[in-house]
Amino acid sequence: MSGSSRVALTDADELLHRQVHPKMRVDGRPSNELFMPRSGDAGLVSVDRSSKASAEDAWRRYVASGKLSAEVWSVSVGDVIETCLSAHEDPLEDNDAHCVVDFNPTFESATDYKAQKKKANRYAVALAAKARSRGQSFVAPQPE
Amino acid sequence: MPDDADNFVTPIFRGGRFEAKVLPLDLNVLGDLVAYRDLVVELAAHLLKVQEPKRQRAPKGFDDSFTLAIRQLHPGSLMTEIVRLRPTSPKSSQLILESEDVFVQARDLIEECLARAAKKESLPSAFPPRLVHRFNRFGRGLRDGESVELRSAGRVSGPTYDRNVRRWIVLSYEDTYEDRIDQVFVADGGEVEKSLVVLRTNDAARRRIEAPVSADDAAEKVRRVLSSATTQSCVRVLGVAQYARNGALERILHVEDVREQDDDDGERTSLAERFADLQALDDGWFEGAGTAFDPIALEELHSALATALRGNGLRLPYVYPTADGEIRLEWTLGSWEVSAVADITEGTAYADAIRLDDGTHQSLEFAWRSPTGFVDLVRLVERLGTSENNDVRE
Repeated sequence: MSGSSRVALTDADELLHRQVHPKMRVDGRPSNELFMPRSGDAGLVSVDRSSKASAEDAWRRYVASGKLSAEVWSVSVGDVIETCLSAHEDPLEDNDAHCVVDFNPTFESATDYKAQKKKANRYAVALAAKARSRGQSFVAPQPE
Repeated sequence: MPDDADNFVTPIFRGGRFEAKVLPLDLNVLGDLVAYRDLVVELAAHLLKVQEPKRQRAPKGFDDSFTLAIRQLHPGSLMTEIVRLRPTSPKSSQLILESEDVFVQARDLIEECLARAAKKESLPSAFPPRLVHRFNRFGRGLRDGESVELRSAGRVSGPTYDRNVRRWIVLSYEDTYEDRIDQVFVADGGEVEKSLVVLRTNDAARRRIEAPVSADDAAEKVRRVLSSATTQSCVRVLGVAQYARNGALERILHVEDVREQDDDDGERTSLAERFADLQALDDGWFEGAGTAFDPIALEELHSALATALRGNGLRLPYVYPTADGEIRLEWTLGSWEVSAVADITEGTAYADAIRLDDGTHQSLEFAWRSPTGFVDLVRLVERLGTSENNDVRE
């Protein structure tokens, strides 16, 4: 995650795809952890923008890198803005669709990761709920 | 079981729900064993005709001469010993003496199919392609990560059968395969008289799917879909579907149950099953991050949560691990989302409740290992879940 570009995404209808690790879903429901920033990611959550990658394209690129994803769930840029967060471009060398959702404003004065995560929880919950209300954007084919 | 039975095969179930050392009261598992028995009989009849080419069909009573029964569940494991009952009538006894080998041959041929399919090798030529479709039924109750080893009498191991092996076998000769479906769709309509529901896929394509309802109370289930269709609400559909080679849903063969999304605890993974899954996580389970949970601390959390939930009729939380070594407990209660994060090492937890339609927010911090444990969280969930119209604001 470079975080170098700060061009904000503004098309409210554009979808942002997020990969779901198989252990992060139960009975078909993905966890709120789906949109929680992870340690070492500087408060940024990786997504792929639909204008440059379909959900299936995003999944294929992700698993081709050796990572696990069972499904793709998506929120719109409008959903992100409604949740009082922002999303911006963050193209990578091998993925020009890569963008990030920035949770840094939610951290307030929290400095350590654990405290930041606690502050970010409610926003991650709201985003995950919006993704669930849309349904899966892509379901990984079952292995043959 | 009296001495009128011989061990035929011992299925040993492993993974997923079976790691909790309980045999789920799930007809799908029993259905798998019935499907296995039917496959043995049909294959044995085929082998008999191959060995006796002049025979047009299997002899009368052939099917009834082969009876399987569960002898016992071995303590401490999920080994279900399946025995073959010896026929009691003289006619059947004579028949079984004549044809005994073909049932054993059928069992062994099935095991050879499984072993070869597990290695992605072609099925043995002795197995008739017309019977491949039988594997659509046998093993349908197994979920991802679950398998059954079929260990024949007198052997120390047997081939392992799982969803991947099953698909490989069916797709060896067919372009599609059948599997259980448990998926959320948008309710779009239905016809009570025809026991038919109309659904749309819950994705951008919104593909229209008509599906027959096979349950005894089909009319009730169709009405449930019709009711949800008035608001285009989502429903959870359980049944059997046909899938293309690439795993894409082709059609729903029959719907066994339709559940409103807020009323689906009955089919939800139990707390015990879920915590068994968490116990099974190894170091590095999340892209190299995420550590295995301390089994004692995890069991403490499980016990504290189960105690707090016992007897109050609350919906079960969805339980997830995090890569940071925490456990998330999540509830969707109408327009409220409740999400708690428990640190299993420190014994602390925090929770947020968010009302999605207006952003109302409540938060809570507690020590789940303390005597009051999850009491405050459970009270919050109870209040949000049962208050009229979920209209709780503070």
